[in-house]
Amino acid sequence: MGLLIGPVKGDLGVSLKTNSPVSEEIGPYLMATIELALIAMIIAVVIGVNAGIISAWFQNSWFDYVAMVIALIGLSMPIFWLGLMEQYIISIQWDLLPTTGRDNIRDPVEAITGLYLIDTLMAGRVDQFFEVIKHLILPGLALATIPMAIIARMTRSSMLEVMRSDFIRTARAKGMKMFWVVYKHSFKNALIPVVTVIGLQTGLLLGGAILTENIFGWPGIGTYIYDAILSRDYPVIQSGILVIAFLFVMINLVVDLLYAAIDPRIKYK
Amino acid sequence: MDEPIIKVNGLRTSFRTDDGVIPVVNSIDFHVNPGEVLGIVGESGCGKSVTSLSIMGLVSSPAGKVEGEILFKGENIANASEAKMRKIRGNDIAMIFQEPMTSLNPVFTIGEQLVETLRIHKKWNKKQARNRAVEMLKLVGLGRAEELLKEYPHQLSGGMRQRVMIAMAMICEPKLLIADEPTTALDVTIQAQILELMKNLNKETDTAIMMITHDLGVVAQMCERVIVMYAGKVIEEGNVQTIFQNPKHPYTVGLLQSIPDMRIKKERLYSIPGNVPKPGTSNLGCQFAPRCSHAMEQCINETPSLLEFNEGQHVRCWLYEDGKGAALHESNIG
Repeated sequence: MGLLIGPVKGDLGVSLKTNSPVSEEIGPYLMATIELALIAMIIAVVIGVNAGIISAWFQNSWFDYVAMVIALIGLSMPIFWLGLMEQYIISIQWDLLPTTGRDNIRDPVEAITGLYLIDTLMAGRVDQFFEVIKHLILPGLALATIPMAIIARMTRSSMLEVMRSDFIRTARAKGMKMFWVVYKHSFKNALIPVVTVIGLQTGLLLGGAILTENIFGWPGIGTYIYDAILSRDYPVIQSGILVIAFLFVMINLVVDLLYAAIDPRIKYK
Repeated sequence: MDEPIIKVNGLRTSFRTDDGVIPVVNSIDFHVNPGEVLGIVGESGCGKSVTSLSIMGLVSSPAGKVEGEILFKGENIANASEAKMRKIRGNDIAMIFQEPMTSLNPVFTIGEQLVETLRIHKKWNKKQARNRAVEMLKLVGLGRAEELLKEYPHQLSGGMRQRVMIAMAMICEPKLLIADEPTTALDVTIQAQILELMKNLNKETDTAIMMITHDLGVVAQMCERVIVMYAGKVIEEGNVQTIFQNPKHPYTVGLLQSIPDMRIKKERLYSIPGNVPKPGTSNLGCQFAPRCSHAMEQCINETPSLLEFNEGQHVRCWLYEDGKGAALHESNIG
């Protein structure tokens, strides 16, 4: 019973390894994962949605073919391999970006929110802020690859369906610019499946980035659970998974609520 | 008489498919005079809708190809640039469609969709545009216009949606309204109301209407002039009265015979045997010949030309080339 009631009260048990409450330990890890997942999703959504829209707009053009082939490659990409290649080529060969970590550890900023992008700005440390961005790019790109491909394909097929509708012909008959026909009239109608996919992928990123986090030495919840598994720290494993499941459910709730905001025909009572 | 608003010369619209290039509209000529209601009749699949989409410049490219001349205000708009067509669409030539249930965007309010047209073509501010939208909704006979602006299409019935479509099309006071079977999807009482509304709008504003329909009843009620199309060609043209009282082409005769008449009790309603030929199947001879009970050898091999009769009636049929047609007329209309 303690296992069921405890989490509701904020009691996630005590770590066998460190002897401190999991609820206190897990915070910074969770924030690190959230920061990385959000950046990855922003990259995935911006590029994926636009690639999908343009592919549908110019169906069967060279852009469409190239984008969809890239999406197919992205979809089947082994992420750990991609991460290692990024590190090897971009960080080591070209020496452009750092391989691992979240910031310049020689001169850290005090964590307040746990989201370093915000913490560095609150401390007024522009240098560290850019340092944090540099550290986010490689793991962010690696994590964004699969969601980007899925979002691009979903956006394209959803847009293609909408663009055949009668109301799109009406919009064109009004003399509207094709850009607005596509981005306003079509896109809002095509949004529901796209938002669903974005929600699901965000949920997956929050919990399932164990490999990527390990490769890039990212102190996130994936690393936390991975270490706990290696040291058989069961309370941490259980609670970590519980937190991930909770986040997943919450994101899906948000997605459901978004449906009603997008489509006036959907109403919750 | 005034210059026609739109004059179509030798319009040919063809589509490239896996089976080759298929002409759907095959060299048609017609014109629409200012303020008149022109009916275009024909069975499904004879190129009526494609004709209207060609005028609007909405034939999907690159598969579709428009050739010939479409003169609007004396200027050829066939294959005009997209930027130029955008200025004409919705502003000078507006269009309403067959399916009111799906022709409005479900995720935007009626108000947003009405005002949008104005904001594309006229540089009006929000308030002016809104007032004009309310005015238009009242003009098309929708009460509580203010509330309607905030409602979504799914909250409206089919008839109301078609009224909104008409309001949207008429909001910029176009010179020509193309109505592509505007009442086909509506039930009969609503049909009558919508036709009445369009007729009134045609009288009050000087907007000409090009009424595309397969319903001769609609033509009788609405139009002054009528064009009968068959397989992408104009086969008969003339005043409504002339065509109804003195149809010349066997196809027109057949169409008129297939209208049920309450006064005569028949075993079975007449219907023209066969179907409209699939576009692109044959280009030789009269396209109607396979279904025509008066077909002669000549009809199968040679394409008849459009002959002129009195009162502007034109017929494309070999029967009239040398006066044989009188016989048909006698035998069929009795």
